[in-house]
Amino acid sequence: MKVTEMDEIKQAQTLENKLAPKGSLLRNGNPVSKATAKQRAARIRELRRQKAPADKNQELPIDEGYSKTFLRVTVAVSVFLFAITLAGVLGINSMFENSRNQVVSNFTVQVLPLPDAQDSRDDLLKIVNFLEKYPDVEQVTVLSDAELRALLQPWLGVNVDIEILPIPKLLDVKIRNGRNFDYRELTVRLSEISAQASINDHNLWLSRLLRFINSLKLLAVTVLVLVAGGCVASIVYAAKTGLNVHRDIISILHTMGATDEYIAINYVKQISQMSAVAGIVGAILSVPAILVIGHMAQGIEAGIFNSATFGMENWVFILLLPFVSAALVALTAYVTVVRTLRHMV
Amino acid sequence: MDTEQFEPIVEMKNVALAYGDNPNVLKNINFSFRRGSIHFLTGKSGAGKTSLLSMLYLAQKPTDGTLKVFGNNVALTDRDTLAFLRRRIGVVFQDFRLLEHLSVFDNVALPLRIRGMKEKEIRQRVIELLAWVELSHNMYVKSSEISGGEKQRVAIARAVINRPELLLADEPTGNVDSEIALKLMKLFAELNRLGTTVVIATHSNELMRRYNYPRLVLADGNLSYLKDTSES
Repeated sequence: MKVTEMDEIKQAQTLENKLAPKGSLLRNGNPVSKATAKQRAARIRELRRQKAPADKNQELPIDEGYSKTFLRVTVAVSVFLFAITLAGVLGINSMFENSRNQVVSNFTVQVLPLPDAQDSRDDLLKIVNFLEKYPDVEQVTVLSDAELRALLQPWLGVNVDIEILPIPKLLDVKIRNGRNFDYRELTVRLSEISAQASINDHNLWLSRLLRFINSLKLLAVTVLVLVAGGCVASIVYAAKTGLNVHRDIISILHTMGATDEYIAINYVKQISQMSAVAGIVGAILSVPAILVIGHMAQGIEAGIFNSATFGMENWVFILLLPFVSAALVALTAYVTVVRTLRHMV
Repeated sequence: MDTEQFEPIVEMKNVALAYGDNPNVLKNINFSFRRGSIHFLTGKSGAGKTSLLSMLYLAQKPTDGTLKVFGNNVALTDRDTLAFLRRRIGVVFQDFRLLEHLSVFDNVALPLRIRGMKEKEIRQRVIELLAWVELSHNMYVKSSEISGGEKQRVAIARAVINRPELLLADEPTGNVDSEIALKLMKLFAELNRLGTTVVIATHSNELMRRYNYPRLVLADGNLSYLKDTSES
């Protein structure tokens, strides 16, 4: 229903008459004329059309200055450290997974030569035939003399004729379902075929690498817990200090009928917005740091360690951190404020 | 028939109040405020007027006796229910107690926001009331930047915007000149006429002589009732 100008004048007069039937109470008892009511209705209309200022202050303010700056810096630094550590964990994890996928899909069989060359060739052929028929074996490749020479070159130099040396033959065996491959059974079966053959399945050094990586992960998780704990402690401290400083405001809000939850939500809205912004700054600052560390890691000539990758899904984790931290801050602040208010009158 | 209409809005039986281990500030108070009544609460400075009012606006619980507000025994009422009961009470403080960092508009809108009213409706009601108390020119000015008389009007607008059932005013004329004091008293009288129960704490004899309302006198923590000024 459209409110007409007449309705508004009537409304204004009704308000005046309800509260001041013998005249406006704030006008020395002078009666309210129709003209005054009309003027006031026009003024109310004009005020309603005006836009309220956008920068609405919160009822329970977080003071500008040291406390707010401290919180912003704490959250930004926490997110920065969190991002770097998380990137490290994810990078190490991907390196291990890449290495394992590469390593577990093949193994090497070493065949020692027999005194007679023909016997050696027959023995090799028997082993290759056996392996090619073995379940989950995809391909068996006998390394050529050139490939063997290339492998030995770093130790023996370029001018050594390997034909005159008793060098074992090497078989590169590619397998399917490498993670569940039963090397123990193969070792037993292979020994029945030839006493000259032995398997090198990489599992020993892989398990050592896994132990090392798990230690690194545990260390990283400890760092993450400490960083998060520090951040939570700062929020608790800031919230408690803020509530103590604004005891008077809280008392007024309570008098007006505000519940503890209302006050807590009012505070949490501000602190979570602020920490989201600080968190975004921390996350943005961490991106070049992660790229630089990644670039430096790529430069390490360590064979297997070059296989670490940092995919898009890992970047998503990093970019989600500001929002995760804002949620953590909001939850901490809410619980702290409600608990603290319960102890106030 | 609405039985609530006949129930006292506030009921005090043997009410006492003490701060910590100190002696009682209020002793053995027995009184009931009938719905729609208006009273002066008087007594010398330090007699306990503010303490009694603070119990009435539910900022404190009595250390002894029974205080019922809107039929609820305050001592047995949980924290959230107390908050909802406070929404039915308007308070005008002697020192205004405005939120200085907020604008005049936001101060007056506060009780409505706490009640969860929609912003559009809040805007409509606050603008109307601020126009009526002639503060619309200062609507978006911080309350720390307005004069004492204007602060008093903001405090009153904030107390009445909710149409409270109980209005408590602590020395409402203490910080304003006599002209504004007169206007305020007229406003309280009219709110009372509309059904609000009003309690005005004052030590101004002039005010009490001018308005012949029943008086409650606090002396040494004891409350006595005088029907009109002729009894003093």
